[in-house]
This record gives sequence, structure tokens and C-alpha cells, in this order.
Amino acid sequence: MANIIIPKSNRFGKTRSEQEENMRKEWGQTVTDEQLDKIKFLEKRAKEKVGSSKSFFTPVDADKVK
Amino acid sequence: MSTFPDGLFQYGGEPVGGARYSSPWATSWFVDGTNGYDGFDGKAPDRSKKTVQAALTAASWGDVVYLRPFQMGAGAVWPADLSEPGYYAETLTVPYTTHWLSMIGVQPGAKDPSYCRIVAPETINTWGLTVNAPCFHAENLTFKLYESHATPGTPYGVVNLAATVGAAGYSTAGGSNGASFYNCSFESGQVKVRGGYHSLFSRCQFLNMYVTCDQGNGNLWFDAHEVPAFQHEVENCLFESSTVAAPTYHYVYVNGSQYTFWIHGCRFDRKPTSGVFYENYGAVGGMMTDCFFNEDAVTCGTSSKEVLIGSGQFEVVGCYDRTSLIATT
Repeated sequence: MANIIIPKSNRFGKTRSEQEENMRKEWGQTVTDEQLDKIKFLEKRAKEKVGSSKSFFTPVDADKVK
Repeated sequence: MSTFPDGLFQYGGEPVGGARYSSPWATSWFVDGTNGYDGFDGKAPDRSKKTVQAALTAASWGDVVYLRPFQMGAGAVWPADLSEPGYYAETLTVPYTTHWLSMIGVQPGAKDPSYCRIVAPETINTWGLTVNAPCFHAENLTFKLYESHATPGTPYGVVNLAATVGAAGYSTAGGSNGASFYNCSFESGQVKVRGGYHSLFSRCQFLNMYVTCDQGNGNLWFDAHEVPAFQHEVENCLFESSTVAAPTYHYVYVNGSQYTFWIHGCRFDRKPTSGVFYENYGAVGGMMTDCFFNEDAVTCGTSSKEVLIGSGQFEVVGCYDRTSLIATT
């Protein structure tokens, strides 16, 4: 018998912006368009800095981007 | 790192690495009070849980719970609000093991937190949401007290960030540590933050919809008389009286061993009839900056003032009433 180990993954999106874009196809939005743009910027910078493609930024972080 | 001395980022600058609430290993959970079913696994919008608590119970640390608002007139409603969305009538608890949890309301558009409502019960000392886990995060949610209860000044609350953990005694590792609320509305009930550190209320509204729902220790109570508190922050929030009368009691009450408490960019509506806009009780340290008070001749000091600073080292800087800069202490 083989055990299939399913890692705890998130099919809805690896990042806040991916989840936001998926959510807008389903129920609606959770951040404004401007905040989404800033979140994408933060995700890009975080990926460059720490090399991870997974993150979950909030509008608290987005509002600090000027 | 930030390219500005005040910690702001800019396009082209580098953010401080990672997100404050990064949860890259998280599971997303979905709650739909209209179409959901608690027997579903809750891991996709078309397999949503029906109740918020079912999702909170299923979730583990670092997870994200998305809440879908009810349709107009659907779900539980009260007669006065038939033209508004229904609400999740639940008493919610986030257990200690479910730390780092995010609970996010989904909106049909814009930034109106009122669409996704969680209503507290009418039971004294029972809270709509009790958070026992560190680093809880909420966005776009309305926490509301059902308005028909009785005595003003009694402790009916909507959110309790509890620092006490189990029977082992007090701990600073409880629900008030690292909690954050963004674009949330707290209506007619109290939000209590017990001790702990680094909580944040950003761009939230605290509304006194009904005078009978006034809270004796404020709409927002930072209570450190049992557990010390450090570096709590309130920014860009609105403290609003009802449309018919000024509230009875304080908007914000801070007491006990509070260190480096910071409130900035907030707007306070009409002065409470039996309280003050803001009170530090005891040796509270920190600062109030860039706040506005919707009355004339607002003053601050240690007694008989509209803003009471307590006996600690607390500065009031750059705050205005309707006519002038209020005295800096």
C-alpha cells in the first residue's frame, strides 16, 4: 500500500495578489486596485530579496508604499 | 530596507524583506453564509463552510479565512436593516494554537467594511470575537453589537483580544500580541485589548450607533491592569458618535502598565457627555499625534480636560480641535 502525502499547499494562490485575482473571479475584491498594484510590487521585491515566490502581504504593507 | 527615515517604501526602493503576515504555507478557507455547508471541506469557494466558526475550527496556524458577505436581506437580519446585507450571528473564538490567522471579508467593490458583518450576542461579558492566538489579522469586517440590549455602560463587547492563556496564568503570548485590524468597523460594542504588545488598528471605524450601547471603559479599551502592554498602535481611525446624540462614555481608554502607546491620525466626533475623548489612567507612556477633535476649546492635561494624559510620559503633538492647535504637553 502506498501512502500519498499531500503537502499543505494552497491552490488558491501562493501570494496575496494571486489570491486576490482568483477571488475577483469568484466573490469580489479584498483590496483596491492601487493596493493590489503595490502588493505586486512588494512581492516582486521580496522575491528578489529573499528568493521566495510565496508571500502574503496585507494592505497595511501596501499603504506604506509611496 | 526603507528608503525613507519614517519607514515608508517607494516604488524602486526595497521593502524590508518579507511580509508582516506572510503565511506562504497557508491554506485558504472559504465561508459563504448563503450557499455554504459546514459539511464541505471549505477549501474552495464552491465548497465553502456555512459558518465562520466551522472554518476557524478547521484552520490551523498561518491560514487565511475568506468571508463572503450575505446578499441584501438574506441571512439573519434585523427589521431596521432589511435593505442591508445580513450578518453572521456567531460567537467566535480563535484558539491559541491557531496563531497567525488572517480573516478577510470580501466585498462587492470599493472599501466598505460594512458588507461583511459579524454580530455579537446580547449577552453581558460575552464577546462576538475572542482571540486567544498571537498575530491575528482581520480586514474588511464589521463587528457589531445587536442594538436592543439594555443598560449603558455595561460590558457588552464585540472583540476581545485576550492576553490570558488558559489556566496557566497570565502570559504575554495571547491574543493581543501582534494582532492587527485593517479597514474594520466596530459598531456599538467595545473592543478590548488586554496587555500584550504590537497590536495595530489601522483605518478602522468605531461607531456609537446607539447611546444605549455605550461602553463604560470606551469603544476601544487598552487594558494593562493585569498584563503589561507595549507598543500598541492606533492609526488613521475614526471614532464616531451616533447621528442623534453624543456618546456617554470615552472613545479610547488606556490604563495600567502601558509603554510606548501610539495613537496618530485619528478623528474624534462629538465629545462624550459623561466621559472624555481619550483617557490615559495611570502611568501610560507614549504619544498622540495629528489627531482631530470635533469640538471647540479642547484641552489636554492630567485632570478636568477633554484629553487626559495620565501620570506617565505621554506627549500630545500636532492635534487640533475645530478652531486651533490644542495645547502641547
